[in-house]
Order: sequence, then C-alpha cells, then structure tokens
Amino acid sequence: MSHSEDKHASILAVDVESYGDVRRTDRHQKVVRDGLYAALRHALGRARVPWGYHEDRGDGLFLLIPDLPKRELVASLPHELAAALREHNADHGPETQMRLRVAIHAGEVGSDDNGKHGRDLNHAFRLLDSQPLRDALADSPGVLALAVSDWFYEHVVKHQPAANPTIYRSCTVRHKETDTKAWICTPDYPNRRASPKPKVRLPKPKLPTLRLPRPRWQAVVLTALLLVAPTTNLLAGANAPDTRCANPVQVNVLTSTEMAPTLRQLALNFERESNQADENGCRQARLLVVADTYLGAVEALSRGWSGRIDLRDHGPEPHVWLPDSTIDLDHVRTKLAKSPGIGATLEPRPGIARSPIVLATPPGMVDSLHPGDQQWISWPTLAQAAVTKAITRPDVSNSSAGMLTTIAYYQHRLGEPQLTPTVMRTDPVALTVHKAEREIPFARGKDSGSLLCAMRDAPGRLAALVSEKAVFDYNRGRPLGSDCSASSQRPEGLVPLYLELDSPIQDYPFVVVRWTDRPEHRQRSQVIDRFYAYLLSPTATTFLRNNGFRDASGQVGRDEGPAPSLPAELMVSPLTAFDQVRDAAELGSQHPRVLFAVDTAPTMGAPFVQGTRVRAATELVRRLLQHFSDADEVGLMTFGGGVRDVVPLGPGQTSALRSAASPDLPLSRNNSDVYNALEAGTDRLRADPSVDGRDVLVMFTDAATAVPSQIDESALKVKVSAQDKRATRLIVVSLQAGGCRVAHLSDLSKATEGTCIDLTSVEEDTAKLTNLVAMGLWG
Amino acid sequence: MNKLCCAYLAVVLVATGACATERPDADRVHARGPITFVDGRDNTEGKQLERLVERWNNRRGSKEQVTFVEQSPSSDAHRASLVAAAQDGALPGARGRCNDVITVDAVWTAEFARAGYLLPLNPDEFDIGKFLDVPVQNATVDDTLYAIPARTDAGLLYYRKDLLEQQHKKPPTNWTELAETANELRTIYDIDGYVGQLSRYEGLTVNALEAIWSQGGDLTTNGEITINSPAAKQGVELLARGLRDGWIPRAATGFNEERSRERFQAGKALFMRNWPYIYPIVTGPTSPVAHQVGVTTLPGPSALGGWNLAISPCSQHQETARDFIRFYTDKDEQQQLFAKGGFAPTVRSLYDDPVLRSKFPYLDVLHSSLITARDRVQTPQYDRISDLMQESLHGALDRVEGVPGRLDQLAEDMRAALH
Repeated sequence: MSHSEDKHASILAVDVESYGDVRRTDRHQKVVRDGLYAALRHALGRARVPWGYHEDRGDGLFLLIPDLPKRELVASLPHELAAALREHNADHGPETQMRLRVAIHAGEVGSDDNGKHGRDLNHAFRLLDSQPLRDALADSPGVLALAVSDWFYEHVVKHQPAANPTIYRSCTVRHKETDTKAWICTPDYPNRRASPKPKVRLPKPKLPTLRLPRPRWQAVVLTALLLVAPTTNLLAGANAPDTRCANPVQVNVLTSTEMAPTLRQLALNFERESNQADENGCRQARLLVVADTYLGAVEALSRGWSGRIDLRDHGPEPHVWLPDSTIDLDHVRTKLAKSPGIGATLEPRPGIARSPIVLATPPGMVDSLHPGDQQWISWPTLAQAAVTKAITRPDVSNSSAGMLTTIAYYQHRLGEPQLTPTVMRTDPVALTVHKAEREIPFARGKDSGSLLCAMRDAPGRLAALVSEKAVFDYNRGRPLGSDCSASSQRPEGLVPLYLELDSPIQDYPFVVVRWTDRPEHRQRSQVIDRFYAYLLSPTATTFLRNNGFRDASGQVGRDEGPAPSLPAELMVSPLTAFDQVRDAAELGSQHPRVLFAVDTAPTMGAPFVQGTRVRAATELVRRLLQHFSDADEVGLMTFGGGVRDVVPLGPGQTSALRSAASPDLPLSRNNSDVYNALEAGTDRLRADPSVDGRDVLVMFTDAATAVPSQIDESALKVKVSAQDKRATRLIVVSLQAGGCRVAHLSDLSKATEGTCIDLTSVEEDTAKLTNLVAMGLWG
Repeated sequence: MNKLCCAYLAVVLVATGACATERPDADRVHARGPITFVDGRDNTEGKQLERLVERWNNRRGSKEQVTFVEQSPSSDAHRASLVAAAQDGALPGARGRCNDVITVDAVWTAEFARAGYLLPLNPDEFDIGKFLDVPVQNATVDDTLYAIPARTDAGLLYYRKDLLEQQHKKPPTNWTELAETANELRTIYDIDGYVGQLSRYEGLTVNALEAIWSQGGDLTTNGEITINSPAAKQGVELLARGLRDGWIPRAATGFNEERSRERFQAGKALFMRNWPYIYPIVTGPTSPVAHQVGVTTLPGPSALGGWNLAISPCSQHQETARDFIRFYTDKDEQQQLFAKGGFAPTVRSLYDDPVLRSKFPYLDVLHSSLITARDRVQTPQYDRISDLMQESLHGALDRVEGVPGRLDQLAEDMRAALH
C-alpha cells in the first residue's frame, strides 16, 4: 500500500434503479450504462460542472470534484440530469429505460492502491443506498431522487434559493445502530408528498389506484401505456406491487443424507448473514436443502431431472449439488456422456470438507486386527479378518461411502488398479465379487450413519467400514442420520481404524448445476458464489469440524480427540464402470439357487479320460459345490429311467449334497430322457417364485439316446427360456464329443443365455465351468 | 372492479417488461392449447388427481391436453420448485417449460401474488360466489383475486371411538380433557396418547399455532408480534408438557402428516390431529382400524389449510388454463375429490348436500372446523416467520421450563426479521 493522501472534494454518487433486474439482459445493461454516462456528461456540461475524478461501480458511479463551488451541484444540475434522463427514456424501451438515485456530500477523500476511500465517501454511499431515498424514488413518478447530507444541506442548499431548499425534507438514515440525518427531494416532481410510513412493518403495500372505466382490456392497456410511458419507468411499474423488498432468489441445494443436517444449518446461517449484510434488511436468498441417496441423486441428475416423477420423488431441480464424493460427479458425467441432449452441465469446485472411510471397530475386536500404532490397518489384513469376523459396509446404492468402499474393496479383491468397463467384463469378476460379498456384505438400505445407528442397538458384535464423521457422531452420542436421534446414553466408543493405503476419502465437492434449456439467472449465480465462499469461511469451517467433518485441509474438530492426518487416498478413475460395479455388488450379494442334474443312464458308465463319464460328472459337482454356502439353495437330481430328487432344492443342503456325491453316483438300468429332465429341473427351480433372483440348472449328460427330432423343440425352448420372476439359465456339460450340437443342447441352452460345453477333461475345464456358473448366477 | 383493472394492467406491464414470449399478450390471454398442471404428490386413495386429469383429457383430447406434474409431498420443496421456476420464467429469453396451472398453498398465496408469480383473475369468470368465504378471502390479495380455492383444509381430531366407548369417555372438547383421557388410556391400552405433526417443518408451525390459539394467544395482535404473550407461552407449554409427561410420544417430534397417520392407522395412537384427506385412508378397506375411527373438531380453532389454483404469467394458453380451473372446481369434480380423495370441498353447497351428509357423517364436523378456522398470518414474509418459529419451537418442546425464554427470543428475532 502506498501512503494515503486526503483531499477535499465534492462527492456525487449515482445509482441506477433496478439495474440488476432479472429482466435486463447483459445487452440491456450495456445500453443503460452507456446512457447513464451520456446523460451525466450532458447534464454536467450544461450545468458547467467539470467531470472530475470518477469510478465505476457497476450499477452506478461516483464523481469526486475538487475546487468546485458546491452550489453548482444542487442548482441546475438536478434539473439538467432529469431532462437528460427523460430524453434517454423517450428513445428507449422499458428494459433500457432508467431512473436514478443521486447522493451529494463533500469531505476528505483519501486514495491508495486500492482506490478512493474515506468516511465521507462511505457516508455518501450510505445515503445512496438508504431506504428513504429508495422509497422516495419508488413513490415518485419522476426519474430522479436526490439525497444530500445534513452538512451539505446546512452549508450549501439552505443558502441557495436556486436550489429550492423547500422541496427537501429531512429524514433519518439508519446504519448499524447509528442514525444520521439527511435531506431528500425529487427535483422533477417536487410537490409529491411521501406517504407516511406504516407504523408496523408487516408490509402491506397497495397497488396504485388508477380510476378507469371498464371498457375492453386492450384499449385500457394501450391507453395506460401511452399515458405512463413518457414519465414513468416501466420497469419500476412492472415490478411486483411490493416495492419494499424484492422476493429473495431461490436456490435449491441437493446433498447427501449424511451432509444434509449440517448443511441445512449452514444454509440458515448464510441466509441470516446475507440479510444482515443487506442495508434494508431484505432477504436476498432463500436456500432449500434437500437430501437424497447416492443413487437417487445420480439417476435423477443423469436424466436431466426430467423424469416424470423426478420432481415428486427427488424434490426441486437443484442449482447446487453437494455430494459426499467426487465419484458421484464422475458417475453422473459417465451417464450423461452416454445420452447427449440432456440439458445439464456440472461445474465442480473444490470440496468443502473431508472424511475418510474407516473401520469402526468395537474395542474388544481391535487387538485381534493387530493395527499399527493402534490405528492403522491394511486392505489385506482387513480382507483376511473378514473370513472369521463380522464386518459390514454401507449400501452401494445408498451413499457415496457405500460406492467408494465397494470400489476400494473390489479393486483389492480383484487386484486391479481401476475398475474400468473392460475389467468388469472379465471372467473372474462374478465369482470374486460373490466371495467378496459373502465376506464383507453390504448392509441394505444403510448409509454410514444409519448403519452405526443399527449397531448402537447391538454393540460389540460388528465392525463396519463407514465415514469417520459417522464414527465421531456415534462416539459423541449425536444423531446418526435422519432417523436416529441423539442418544443420552453414551455407548462404548468405536475405535476408528484407518486404512494406511488406498483409503477412500469423501471430499464433498461443491457442484454448480446449470440447465441449458434456460438463461442463466445472474443473481442466483451470485448468491451461489457467495454461498460457496461462505462454506469455505472460517465460521463455516469451524462449524463443519464441530459436526464431525474434517475441513478441506484435513483438520478434525478440537473435541474429536487425537486423529491421524488424512491417510493416503484411494485414486478412483473417472472411467470407473460405476453402473457395473453396482450391478455386480447387487447380483453378487444374492443368494443363488442351483440345481445339479446328472444323467445316470447305463451309457454314462462308458470310459472318460481316466475314469467314467459319471465319475467326471460327480467330481465336477463336488468341485462346483465349494463355491456355495449354506445360505445358498442347492439341490441334486439324477435322471436315468425317471427323474429322482437325490437332494431336494433348498438352503442348508450343501453337506447333504456333498455326501450324496461321494462316492460317485450310482447308475440306473434304464435309458434317460434328457429333454424331460430339462423340463423337470426347470419346474423345480421355479417352484418357489416368491424370491427374486437367478437360477442355474447345471446338467451333465452324454445325450446318448437323445433324438431331437422326436420332440417339440420350439415349445421346450419357450418353456425353459421363460423369464418370469426368476430367470433360469441352463448350463449343459456334454460328456460325449459333439453332444452339444447333435442333441441340440447348444441351441436350448443359448435360448436361456446359457452354454453347452463338450467336456475335454475335468482338470482342464473346471475353471471354465466355475466361471460359467458364476456368470450365470452373478454376472 | 377498479382494482381488477389495475391488476390486469400490472400484469401486462410485467409481460411487456419481461417475458420474451412467443405470442402477443392479448393472444395468450385467449389462447387454447396444451398446458401443464402442477400439484403436490397425489397421496389420495386411488390417485384421484390423476383421475381428474384423465377425465379432462378424455373430454378435451390432445389439443388441450393437460400434463400432470407432481411435486414433492414436502410443501417446502413444492414451494421451492415453483419459486425457482417462476424466477427462471421471468428471465428475458426464457422459453419452453411453463407451469401453466399451479396449486399454491394458502399460506404462500399472498407472497406469490405480490411477487408477480400469479396472474390476477376475474371473479365473475369463476362464479366466485359459490365458494366458501374464508378460502376466497385468502386467495384475495390487496383486493385482487389471484387464485381459486381448490381444496380447503382444517385440522380434525381423529380418535379411537371403540376405546373411548369401552372406558365410557366422551370425545374431548378442550386440551385439559384431552390430556387427561390420553394419559389414562395410554397406560391401559399401551398406546400413544396423542400424535400430531411436530417435526421441524410447516406442520410444526400449524400445530403450535393451534395450541397457542386454544389458550387465547396469537402470533400477532393488531400488527404487533405477541408470540411471547403469557397465553402464547401457555399454548407451547401445553405441547412441551405433553411430551414431558408422556401422553405425546417423543417420536412425534419427528412426525409429519403421513407418519402420524401410519401410527394411528396401525392402532398405536388414541388421538391424532390431522387433515380431512386422512379420513378415507384410515377408514378404507385395508385399514386395521377402519371401523374404530371417530372424528371431531380440534380442542380449539384450527389453522386454515388449503390449496388454491392459480395461473403462471408464462402461460401461453390461458383460456385453457382458466377452463381447467373451472373444471377442477366444478361441483361434480369437487364432490368426487371429497368422496374419494378426502379433499374438503371449497364449494359451499356441497356441505348441505343431503346425500353427502348421510354418507359422510363427519361433514358437519368438517364444516364447523372450516368456518372457525384461522389464517396463520397474511404477510409475504410468512415463510421467514414460519422458519423462525420452527427453529425456535423444535427446541422449545424439549423442556417445559425453557419455553418462556425461547419465545421471548423468538419474538425478538421476528421483530428483527420484519424490521
């Protein structure tokens, strides 16, 4: 800063009424500004007042004029200015017409690198923005309202008959508890008396009362327009009848269930601060914070909020989206890229908070996990521990924490650095995901908070991968999510164990949503900018920390106790196949229904590699069985002569099935009917349609006596491929070379999106068959 | 009529100054064509609003097709959606989507009208004399009619008549009786005594105001804020005491209309304050308490609820929009909406209809609730006031002793908010 230098000058400050009115476009505003400068120059020239120093203020400007006989400012200048404005308005349409507020004062004005400053300059602006001056213009049919300071009135106006001092009336200008006197007039309509202020400020403004007969509307309107146009600012007239305060700008904010309670409070505080900052106490903005689930927000945004029920089920179209993580944003962008023409663009700004995903561990379980420094754990240790310990995680569809954790967990299980669409299409995914979901299942319908809420009722049994914020809330007895109120009984605290590498971290980006089917609402954009700035302010940052979040630099709140610095973050590629990850998790967590059907006709006793056909079949059943648990429904039937249910389909049957398949299944005396067995197997799988899910019929046969020409093949196809509540896939293992083709088993299984393979050897084909079954069930 | 002229003038001025429209204004006023109808979520049994729109579309065909867009059931979200759309619609160059006919909550009507979000209407075109007076007054702002009452609402006290009969109790007529009965019976039957809408939303403002009115208090008196008067404090203390003493369950501080309805319908509450639309649901064939429901007036005046139909200035087909409003408020449609959807009619004559009265014995109760119902407060700043109330009251309900201090603070905040 350079040194300050004070100079005495007359101050003339000018503001255009309703300059920022939403109905003025950028082009309109330019015309208005050009008009303002032209009118001022013209009026100053006519009144012989030099232009002096000036500074532009967007909706107006101020002039500093040293060495000027001050009476010049109030003698002819106001009239010249009014005339110039009327001239301008006569040539322009309503959007580019203008009316002015003018404030005049004099005093010492300093200057430095940042421009002009000083108490007197501030005082002039205060007069300019004051409510009495605004009211005077609003009540005037003219184009100009003028305020002079008490000092200026006492020392200049009062002694100048040319300034017509009697048209000024005194009023009180309030600013931050201090009242100052000012003098106001409307020079071009001097005789209009301002209406007295209502005593109680429950505003009840009236429409202007024009007395008109009741002829046809068009005539009235036209006449009225003609009458009003030359003198009145149409924009002002067009404003809503309430001229005291404009209706606040509506800003709709979409956020997560986790962030919503804190953000609602922050939005209220922001509204309050904005109102206080407004000199007239007018509400500038109204924010509505709506919470949605991960998938709810992602899908509605990806549809451009245009689904028939989006407004109903997801609330108003958001102007700001504050998801828990950048992956939410990447997910929407991936989906938007696939459907061009959806009119939403997303402009992310850096996040306002952080919260890493941690393993919320009951104290009794901590030691068995051997955490480093009692707080660090790795993905391999975690996955290992999950085999024997009960660990869970949030729903992949319900929260960003669920999706982030799923991505991190699958990347570890699959040994892949990224879950691109290519990776998600590979064979091992279905089986690995199913195993992963068996070991650390996700808790359906739960986000971090509601998951811990459920754990609060049965503490000590379960560990969960959740946001650190939820753990802080849990440990402090705060409300957990929207449905779990604060707890008066402080539960035994959960120990957050941090993932030392590839730790998912929620980063809460601030995303401005723009809808391309409508023009930008500039005032709303300004409010959004200010809201963002507010969220990064020290006040808001402290508030976020006190609510369990880390701030953007990773600091935790003072009361949360010692917490390590943010761990090494998991990098999630924006090219991640989010939809496929979610589908894999949903399918992989389903309990399957699998029926093994083994042909036991005499021909199955024929040699195959080193044993017999039936031995190869039985061995494969045993190997496939390893991938199922007692929660899954499995069953075994044989067909030779007739169909026999060796182990009926149902849960908890794996050990029964294992013993039935050991040693090899016995052969029957009669030939088999493979097509009949196919129908019978399908019927058994579909017998209980009450549960959604997928079924697989795994059939082993040599098809030795199958004659496709003797059956109604198309009717059979229709039957096995029918997709009711449960879809059945048929996987056939042919134990005779060419059996798939000859007996038309390839065609039949393809009709169910399944496969038929001609077995080469048990050893060579086990892996292939396992993947086929896994894909059929979870792929 | 002069006021109406002025209102029309103002609107034309809005249009000339603002909307880049496709048609000259006079054309839009008399134009017919497809329109959008925006209402809250259709919670009625059998989707009665959807049915109504279908009936219209069957008659008018595609040339005057009405597209029904449902908004969120939360009235805050509904309001936010309409306001944002109105603000966008007023931008120069705004085209396309317009919410031609909207339903506006009685409490926002003044704000919307003054903000220029609603077109003024000519009362003669809507046979305004056939409607109940109170809702018409509510839709009239600065002597100009801005909306047509679509459905009116007053709170009712639902009760379990079987349990009251077993204990030889009469339905309560004041809060003291209600509290006593609730306290006594809740332990006998192991159910909640009383449930209302005490979650932090508009419902809380309504429930609290009704309690305040029942004690002779009010939010404002002669234009002055009196929310901290002794009577007003008593009203809020009444609810806080109920929560403390247990005849109002703590869980009710998270209840909205639907949550309290579920509780009552599941047979787990003795008394419930709720709106008339609940009646066909709790007495419907799938309701476990279908035959055990009694209805009476609240133990004090009810807040006037209700929704009005209005037209947005962006509408290109205003003749159709007006026609649709006439259709919606036609006596037959109002009767259907009441009989099947539980929406209290705004057409006066239906309350005297002998067939309806015999079929719906609570029609008299409803009528007397409606004519004594009170407007919450008519100010464009209503939402700000309600926000402040909700914020303060939700905390106040935690501790009876804290109520006076909270309300003193609330009064101060309200005065500051209104200058």
